Amino acid sequence: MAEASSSITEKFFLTLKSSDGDEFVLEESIAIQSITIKNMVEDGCSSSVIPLSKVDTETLIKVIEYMKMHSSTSSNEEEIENFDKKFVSNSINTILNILEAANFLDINNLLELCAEAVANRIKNKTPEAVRKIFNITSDFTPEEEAEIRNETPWAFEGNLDHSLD
Amino acid sequence: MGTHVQEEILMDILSRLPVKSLVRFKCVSESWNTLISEPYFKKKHLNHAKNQPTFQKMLFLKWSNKDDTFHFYCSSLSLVQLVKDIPRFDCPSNFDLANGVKLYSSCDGLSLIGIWSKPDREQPSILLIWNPSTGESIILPHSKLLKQLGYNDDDDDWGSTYGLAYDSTSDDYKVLRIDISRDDNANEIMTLKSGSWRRIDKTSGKAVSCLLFGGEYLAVVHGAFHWLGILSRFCVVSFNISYEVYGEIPLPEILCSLPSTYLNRIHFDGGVSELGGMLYVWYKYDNTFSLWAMKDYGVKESWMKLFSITSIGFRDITPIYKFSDDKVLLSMRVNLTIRIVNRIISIGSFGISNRRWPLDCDDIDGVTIDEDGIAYTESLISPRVGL
Repeated sequence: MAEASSSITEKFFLTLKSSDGDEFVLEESIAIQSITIKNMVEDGCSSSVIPLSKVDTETLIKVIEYMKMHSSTSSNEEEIENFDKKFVSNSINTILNILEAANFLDINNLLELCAEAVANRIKNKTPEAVRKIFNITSDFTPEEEAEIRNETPWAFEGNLDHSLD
Repeated sequence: MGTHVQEEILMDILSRLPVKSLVRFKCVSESWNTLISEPYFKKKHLNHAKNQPTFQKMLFLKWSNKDDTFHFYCSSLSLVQLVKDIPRFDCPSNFDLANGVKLYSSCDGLSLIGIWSKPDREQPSILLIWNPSTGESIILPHSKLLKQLGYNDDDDDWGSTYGLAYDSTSDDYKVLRIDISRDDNANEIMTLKSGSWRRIDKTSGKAVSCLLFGGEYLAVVHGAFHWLGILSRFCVVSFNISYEVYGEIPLPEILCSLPSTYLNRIHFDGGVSELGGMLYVWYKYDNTFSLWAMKDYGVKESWMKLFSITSIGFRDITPIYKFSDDKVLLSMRVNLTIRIVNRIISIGSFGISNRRWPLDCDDIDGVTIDEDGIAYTESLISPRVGL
């Protein structure tokens, strides 16, 4: 519910605090692209600093950068498109961190963008590369793995990508 | 190096991957294997794929001169991607495809295919459901009713046609067999979970005789199968997938008012199609092929003509797919040949454009395509339901 004091001309600011303890001041209208923050504002929990214990500074900077570009009325569609393209050229690990943050903050279009980007980056990779990217240790015995591979040899054909980014 | 991600996020990422990648990633770890094999994940993947142009494919059959036999191929139906790579599929169980193959329909990435071991028989000797993306397939049992009723294989009759659809009420797939040869109602249905044919109750609606009219085309929209037939009059016959009752949808007035010398099983040339989730009817009359869309399902007044084009020089014109931007892919045979060509018809402000498709591909020149292709969505859905 909008209060009588929140007239259109007046700007409200929120302070977001990363897990590293760094504080960022952001216009409320930009920050509420995050449904999590929006709910906090509506519940009146935003008068003080909003702690984001799951988001580190490096990631929060990126998320704020994204929210600013996507809320700005001056940026046109082409600018946003170019921004998004550049945004997803970050390392996979950075994008995965942003993805976690977007999930926590509930910013749907950022979530979409990053999930799609990660999918695109890993789709031609080898299982070995995927394990390293997602920090997974295989729990298959070599025999079990060979069995799965032999069931569908066609899935391992073509030029697979061994790189980790 | 490496980031642990929550399962929820991982699922979101994986549901966007092509089937080939997912099949490969089954060997990443036990938990990935479990996740990718779960019916819930397969559905999530399908729901994403349904709306993505890059997941839309066309399955077709092509003669190969190299080994003198037919093979299944798939091509991308994305206008951006065009047909850069056309992977060949191994036919399940290495059936001999030389005596006749019919691609009936597809649903959620599963294709319903008939294979003949002897040419010119009424019934295919093998009816199978195949997911060309994963290679999984099942062979459906033969209809006992057909044997009981007896059919003459030498008879040049029209036999049966088949359709495949998903029933959300029972979370099962259903295969419908429509008998074209008999006037009495010998239609049957099979649920994949039960794996056996069941005759459809004659009292399931008012259908006494719902002949398939001029073709074997079935369209699944709005939770029902559809085909052209005669109930109280010439109409689109519908058959609800969940409740298994017949219904009747009126055709555009102009089509019903065509001369009766044309509106009969021998001379009528047309059918129904599902394109982009909508019901379409198409017919060829007086050297003109027309395509109509039913904008509001069930509302007669909402029939709208998309286009009419000259059909001179072609026969067996069938719509295969509608691209997101109102371009329609038609498959047709060049008169006096068995050659199939595919054309994209688009309606723009400058009138109708009609061009060859695919644009950049010499490999699949029309000459060697044998059967009409069917559009399908790349999916992980297994024909072995319940497994």
